[in-house]
Amino acid sequence: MSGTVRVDSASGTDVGKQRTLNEDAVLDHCPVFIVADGMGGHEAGEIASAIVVEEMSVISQGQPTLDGVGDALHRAKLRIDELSARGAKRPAGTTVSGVVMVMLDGDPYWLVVNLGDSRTYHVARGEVSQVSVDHSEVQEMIDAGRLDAGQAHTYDRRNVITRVLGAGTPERPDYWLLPVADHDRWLVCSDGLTAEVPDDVIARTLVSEDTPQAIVDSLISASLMAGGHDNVSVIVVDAWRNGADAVVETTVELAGQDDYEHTIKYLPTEGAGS
Amino acid sequence: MRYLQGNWLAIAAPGGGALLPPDFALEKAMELWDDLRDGCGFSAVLQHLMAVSGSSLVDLPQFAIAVHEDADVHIALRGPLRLTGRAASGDVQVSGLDITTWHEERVVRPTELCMVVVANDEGEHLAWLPLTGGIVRAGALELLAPAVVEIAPEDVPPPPPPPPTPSPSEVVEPPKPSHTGATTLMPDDDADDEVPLHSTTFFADMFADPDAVRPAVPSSAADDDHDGMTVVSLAAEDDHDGMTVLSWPSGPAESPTPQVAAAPIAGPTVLARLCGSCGAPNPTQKVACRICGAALTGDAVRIPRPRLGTITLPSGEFMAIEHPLVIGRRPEVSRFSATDVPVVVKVDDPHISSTHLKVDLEDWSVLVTNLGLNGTILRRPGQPDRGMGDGETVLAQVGDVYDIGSGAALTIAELA
Repeated sequence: MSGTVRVDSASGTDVGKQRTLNEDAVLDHCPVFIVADGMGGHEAGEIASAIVVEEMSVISQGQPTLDGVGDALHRAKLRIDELSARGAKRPAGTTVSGVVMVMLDGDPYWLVVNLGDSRTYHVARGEVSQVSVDHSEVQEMIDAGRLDAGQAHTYDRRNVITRVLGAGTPERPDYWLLPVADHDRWLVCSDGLTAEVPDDVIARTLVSEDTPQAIVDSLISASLMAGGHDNVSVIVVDAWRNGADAVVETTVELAGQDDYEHTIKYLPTEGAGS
Repeated sequence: MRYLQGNWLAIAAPGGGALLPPDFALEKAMELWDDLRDGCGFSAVLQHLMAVSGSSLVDLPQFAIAVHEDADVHIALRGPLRLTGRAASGDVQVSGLDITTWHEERVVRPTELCMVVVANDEGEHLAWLPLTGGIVRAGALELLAPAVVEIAPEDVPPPPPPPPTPSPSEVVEPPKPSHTGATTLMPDDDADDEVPLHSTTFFADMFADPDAVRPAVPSSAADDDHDGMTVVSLAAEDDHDGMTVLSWPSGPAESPTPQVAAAPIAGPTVLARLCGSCGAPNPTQKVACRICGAALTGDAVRIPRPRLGTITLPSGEFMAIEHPLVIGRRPEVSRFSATDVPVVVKVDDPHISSTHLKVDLEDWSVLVTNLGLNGTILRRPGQPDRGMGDGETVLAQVGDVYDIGSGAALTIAELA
């Protein structure tokens, strides 16, 4: 089985209106798309999110695998823990959420990874669904039936997260594997978006025909207009799968500052012969 | 439990055992086996035997039945059969000869118990074969044995070592790869040996060597895939040594984060009661060890989930039930963690749904869920075939065949 997947992505990040430091980090480098929201005193959060982006960008240079993603997260976790050991008052940590395209027996799949309360949404056939499950106290309350989704926005401990990368705890990310469809769209964002902008506004923007860049700009500006209380980061990824045997050369076109198209050519795995 | 090969029909289950004459109907034997597996009491089993045999004493077959009742064993026998053993009160010697009705007794706290067909004098020369459950042709059935078990060297794997009990201060070590290249997240690689599924049931020959049914799944290779079915390796592309699950990456030092003092067991765990006799872990509701039959005492402990059985994949290969499983044309795998990476089995056929069948592991249970648009037919031994409902989940039983169409099926070959 061979074919191509054409990927078009865009991303953006903003410190927001209330903070002086942007502790979010974004990796938008096909086939790895990750948002990380760092935390910890003395700029440790900024460094923590940068570390996980750095480790994930290493694996984005080749063909990532499930094992590779796990290894990268673990390496990042060890480095992040060192930050705390050097005397930071609050343990350094970061969320990490996003999608990675992996090959499962010659078949392209999206590997969704999530740790913390940043989010990854999937848009398919005009419907938006949140794939990642928040590791937050709010989510636990909702799961336990003690809070309904409508109350989540005003719950006073909504910023408490229950799992994180770093902070001296073993990392326990969640994973999903979804086969790459004929056409997919993904949204990866930090809670600076979802805590400020209502879900229906996000959904309407996502199902529109707009380009990834236009959607990124629109969502960030919506978050700032709603108050910009936190750093906000957004990645939008579009993918089209072509199962035909035609081989298309890898192209990288820079159309606009943050826009590029990246074509992935996928072939059967080594053992099958080229 | 163990048995000697012979002509009679031996039924063995965690609840007890029975010996029935060579011509006893197999279907009736299966019903009695169900009773013993379901934990039916002695009276129920005896009544069932009478019900399937006929109302008069003339119709009643020769038989030996033994049913566990707490730490005691309730027995009955009739005909050329002997029951021997040892109990707190001394030696046990019961004969079924020269009785019109049957001899019945409740043996108090036996430590050894064996039922033998008297005519079978050749017993001494045959090898005792292990049996965890099932129906076999036998001349003798040993239900309880003393702790030290002598097993004939040929064809029979050694008894399991007692499983390591993780102490609270034990730090979770990165795992070593197990023998077939499947890396699992358990604190001690030897935990793989905890569950000695050296059972012989109807499928006796297949399981003579438990190592033979470890995942021997080839890595993905599309070109020699004649039947369009592939088992997917979720590892690096150049990993051809079989199925690899996400390994807990080892850090620069052997010990993980120093801040973690009392490390919980990484990976899925179950509550179990460990057999004082052979060390095998058992589900907490069992009263007798499913491996050796000894009465289970002691408190429940949390242990890494052992292998729960064996599955036959659509390709015909055997695979240990240690991880969740998803089968389909291009299956989707929902929320999993690094310690419980599901095995993805692709079946390349247009009649099979993208995500058609799921096998989940919950505590000791194996649950199978139908997600296929064209459905899944459940063929369960002793029951008529039926189509599973949309999204229906069933508790798997040994012998179940889940037919997803186009000649592809998943079989539960054995369950722990």
